[in-house]
Amino acid sequence: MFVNYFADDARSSPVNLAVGRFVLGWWLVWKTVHYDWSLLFSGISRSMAYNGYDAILPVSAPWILTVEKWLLIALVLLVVVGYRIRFTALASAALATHLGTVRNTVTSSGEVSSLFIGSVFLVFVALYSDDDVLSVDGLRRVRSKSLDWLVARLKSDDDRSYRMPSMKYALLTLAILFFSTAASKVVDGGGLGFVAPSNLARLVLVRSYVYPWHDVQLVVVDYPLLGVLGGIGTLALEFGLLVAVLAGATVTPFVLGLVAFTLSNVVLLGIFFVDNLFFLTLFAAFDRAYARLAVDRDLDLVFDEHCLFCARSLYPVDLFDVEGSVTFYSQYDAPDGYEDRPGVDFGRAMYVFDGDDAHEGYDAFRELLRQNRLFHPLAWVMARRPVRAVGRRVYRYVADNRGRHFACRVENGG
Amino acid sequence: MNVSGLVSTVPLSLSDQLVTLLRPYASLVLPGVLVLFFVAASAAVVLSDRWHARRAFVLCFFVGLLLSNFLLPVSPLPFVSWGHFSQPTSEVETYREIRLVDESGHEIKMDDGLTLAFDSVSERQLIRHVRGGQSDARNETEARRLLARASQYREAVGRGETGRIERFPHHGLTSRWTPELLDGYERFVGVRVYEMTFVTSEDGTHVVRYEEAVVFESFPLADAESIPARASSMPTRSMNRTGPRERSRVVAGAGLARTGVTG
Repeated sequence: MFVNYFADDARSSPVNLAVGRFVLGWWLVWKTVHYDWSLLFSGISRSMAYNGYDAILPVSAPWILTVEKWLLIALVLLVVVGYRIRFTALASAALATHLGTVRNTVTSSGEVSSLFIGSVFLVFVALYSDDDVLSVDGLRRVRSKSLDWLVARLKSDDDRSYRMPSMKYALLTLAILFFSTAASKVVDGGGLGFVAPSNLARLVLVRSYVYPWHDVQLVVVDYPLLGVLGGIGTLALEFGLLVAVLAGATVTPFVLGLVAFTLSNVVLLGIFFVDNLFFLTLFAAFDRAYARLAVDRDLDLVFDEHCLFCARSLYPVDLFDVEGSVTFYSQYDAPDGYEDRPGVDFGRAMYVFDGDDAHEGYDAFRELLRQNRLFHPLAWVMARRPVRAVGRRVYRYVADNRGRHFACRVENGG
Repeated sequence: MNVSGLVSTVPLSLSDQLVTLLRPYASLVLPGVLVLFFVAASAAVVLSDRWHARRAFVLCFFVGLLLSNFLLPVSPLPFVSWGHFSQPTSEVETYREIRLVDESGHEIKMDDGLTLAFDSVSERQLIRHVRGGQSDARNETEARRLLARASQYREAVGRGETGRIERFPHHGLTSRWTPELLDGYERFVGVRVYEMTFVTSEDGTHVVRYEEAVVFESFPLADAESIPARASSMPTRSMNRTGPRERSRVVAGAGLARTGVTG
């Protein structure tokens, strides 16, 4: 369910990295967009602020923070789609860190430290952006590839492998932070003080007066053994994640446990480490979930192997085809009988064959989308009559003019 | 907090000596580390395909992360360390809190959301700041600021502009003001900071004694002769409640009322 990227940072699909960028990006946007950063340089918040970082803070021009916020959001959205990741992710990290530093002057709680953790993750994304295939950058890189390379890639039956070092280092960072937390509990607690029956009971009891919220958490006071088990479980999870990561074992039980631990904190102490949920989510096996949504059918796709534009257009299809259910053919090696079917003309359009059914051009693309239930809503929209009418016309125009308007080498093949 | 305690047994450990040595230069060192981090990151990104630049940067980062989590008493940004509730509780626990006082002397615990626009500053840092005033004039200024923010925030609560789900949940889901809670309060005229001491039973399941003391107060919006006396002492588990009714956890006969404590 969750991936130990430290054991193996290669996946058979590029989906996880793209979804990770998406999760990280939207977390950062949500976290910053509603916040009035310039308030941090006014009133009591400024007068009580820690001034150790003033050398790099625009204290006399609070409006700069508002500009930084919107710039950050714009850059993060570019990271989400994967546009010029090296620059946008690094600049986003720098801006998020800068805003976080300003906020850190008035509070250093987990909600602020998470900004720095997220920034470091973005730095990793920037560092290893060339491994980021399912992105605008990845598609742009394909422009430098030759037609032969593209055709060979589409036709290849080799297993795909996509490295994700940024995920590996992000996971290691998170595991070290959790391990250090557990270690501090043992050291500060003089051994097992943290798991002593009285510890969590007293903490919950006193906080129920200081921060009254509800009564549910008092069950720990009534049944101190629950607190002991919770304490032991917390240490096991926080220590165990790093051990599992380094040992190359599955991290799923530890990640699920830490999610439960984070949620139980909310109940017991009223603290909302909501950022942790986002960070842990980054390591979910989204590619497996995506594969489970795949439709169980095999398609044959026939395209013009002299058309660079066509091959480039089909490259994303290959990236999304995590199950390998689409077999690519050119007009020269298509299975016997396909071209003899009524209405089929390989010189006119791309075709998708699903058993006895042949789908041409625009409808072929729609069939490709139908290969995964995730895209079914889009395929449904594409099937509506007005959309389909426009889509077919656009396809026809592009197909008829691919030699004139698009990078396409049309010549006699051999 | 971190596990620098591991090395604290070493006579004034190297890390402590280093921190002591660098403390006067903190305003240079701390921003310096931050700037250096991003200069190094930029260099690693630009030179990513040469000289093992990426690997070197990543290695340095993890060395820094390990140092700031296991050796250094402080974590220079962007390095962070977590250590929530790592200190075991003791039978005597002390908390401080800010309460706003209305014209009739009713007190309400500050909702820390009022400090910034619906988010929070560190309450501990705020209390230290409010208490740190060297003059009555400064104390009054800070109290006025808090009261002004409280008034704005109270109006925002009335308009239902706080606690909206579209905002990212901020740390601490507790002590939230609600329109119902604020209904019983008149205009806020002053601020008190309390130090609350809880003495709990050995097994941690009951409060056996509670004491509280005012460590700061200022009433900039009340006439000198009409400053309300302390009408009641806290805590009560009904104060600032947003959930169902409370259950008392105070031992009967220990000089404490069931619904709270009188001091």
